[in-house]
Amino acid sequence: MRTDSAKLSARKLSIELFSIIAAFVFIYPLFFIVTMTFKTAEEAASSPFRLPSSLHFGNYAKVWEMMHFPLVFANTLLITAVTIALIIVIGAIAAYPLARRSEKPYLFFYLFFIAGIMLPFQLAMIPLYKLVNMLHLVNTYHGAILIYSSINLPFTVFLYTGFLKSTPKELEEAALIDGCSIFRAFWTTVFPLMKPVTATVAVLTALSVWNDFIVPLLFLSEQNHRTITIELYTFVGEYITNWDLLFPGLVLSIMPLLVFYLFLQKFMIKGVAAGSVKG
Amino acid sequence: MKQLTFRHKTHITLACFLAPAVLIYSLLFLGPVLSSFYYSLTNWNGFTATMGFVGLRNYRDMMDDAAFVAALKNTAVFAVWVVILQNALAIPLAIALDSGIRSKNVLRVIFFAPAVLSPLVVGYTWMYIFNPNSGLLNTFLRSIGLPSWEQVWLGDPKFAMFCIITMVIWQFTGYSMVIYLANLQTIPSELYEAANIDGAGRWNKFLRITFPLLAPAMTINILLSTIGTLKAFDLIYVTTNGGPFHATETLTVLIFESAFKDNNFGYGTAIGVVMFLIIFVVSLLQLLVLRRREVSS
Repeated sequence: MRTDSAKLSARKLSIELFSIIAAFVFIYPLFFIVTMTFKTAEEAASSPFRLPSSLHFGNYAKVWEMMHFPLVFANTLLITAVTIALIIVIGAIAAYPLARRSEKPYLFFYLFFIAGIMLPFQLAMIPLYKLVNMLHLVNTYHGAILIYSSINLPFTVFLYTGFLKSTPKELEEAALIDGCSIFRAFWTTVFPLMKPVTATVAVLTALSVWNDFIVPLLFLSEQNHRTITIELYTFVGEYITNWDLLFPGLVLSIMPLLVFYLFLQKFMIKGVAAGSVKG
Repeated sequence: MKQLTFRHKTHITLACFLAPAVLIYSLLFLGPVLSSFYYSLTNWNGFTATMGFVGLRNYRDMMDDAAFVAALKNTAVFAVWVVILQNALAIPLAIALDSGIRSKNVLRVIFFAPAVLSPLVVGYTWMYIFNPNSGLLNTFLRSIGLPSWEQVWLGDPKFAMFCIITMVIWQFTGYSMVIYLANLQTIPSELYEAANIDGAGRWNKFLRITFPLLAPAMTINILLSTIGTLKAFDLIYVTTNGGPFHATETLTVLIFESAFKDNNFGYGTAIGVVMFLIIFVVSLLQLLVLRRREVSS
């Protein structure tokens, strides 16, 4: 018996060891790039694998200026935050009638939204380009926010509707009898119940909007409205051979989301897993 | 009578609930998509006000277009390899992390981390790793005495697609793993205890219990990575832009090229329509096959 449990713990230990080594290999590319940013150009060329002899922050300061970092960061944050807020409000209220009513028109609109999950953005891209130009929404924040909302709405409506169908009607009916309007009843009793879905929607939308490349490539090319990804793209285009500027640029652009992730990792991983299991 | 007006009022209120979402979604997404189906029947170049209706010509041209056929093949190779390898890596990782090891939470955070990065950043990071001169991979091969294994990687048509596949797998294996992990936690431990009493070996338990009961997560993962690779654009666009010699040109890259570089909007949208049909049919088939597996197990 004792040898059995000894064998078991030895096994567990070897699994643990193997997993840690795998994780190290896995994360090494990112670790490597971060160490490169602290090296001088000579150090980077002569001994790429060694740790930097001293922390050299000069390149960060330079790149911070060159990428207009505060501006592009604020742009990305604004567009992402407003999109999340908007999509939660309009997605949740749209899901309410779809989940509570079984008449034909409601079923039609449900399928109407679900169809959007399958449609690739590339199919909308070209006519959208023409439309957005016509509506003078190019290089505007509200243009980008509306485009992102429309792209992310189908899945949001799908998640909210699925969740609402599994919650009892009694609560809001009690509120309705008390004389609340449907809107107030929804907002005060149903919406707070949907917190888990709201969290999933917020995480998935944050990742897809913050990291998006094609919408800013087409619609936010002007300097003042650029997001982090499109600024990085332009920056790399100019300095592709200057590794000593490129690496700080990369690290700087991933930092905000990485910090956000490290603080909210439990919440984010749970949100992703929940969203996928429902989908 | 009173009852009727009340019901009408309810419907009007509920219609107001739907209105903002329906409006934004149909104006900026569904509308453009539907008009795409029309543009795919024209020779519109994207600039001029006039366009000629050409019927199905764009679709017929595709059949004779070597670039389209190559892109179709590349997309298929890309999707199949990513789906297989990503799941083959994610399942053992999830099982390892679920086996009661102490570092589970830290490791989960590490493996999932690349999934929060933009494909752009992933692309640039790996471009450096695959750089033929100063890149991490070739430097490593030189340092362990295997200089003959050095390649130009992304610059070599033989290896470029393999490099892109590596990048995608690196980014999303943690994502798949997290979904498998969530599924593993729903498998009742009584099943394993019963199997222990029956004297089942480790491999047998995996084949008879774990693997079949992971079917729901597998359905989602296969579906997500198939749709994800079919739609992938950013990563390829910034690393190889479809090259070298069209070796990594997928349908999405070809659409972008036709529409914005060759100014052939009609043809580009026609490829987009074909891509949609492929995604639709493939995910429907997968759903049918994989769901059946879930039920029977």
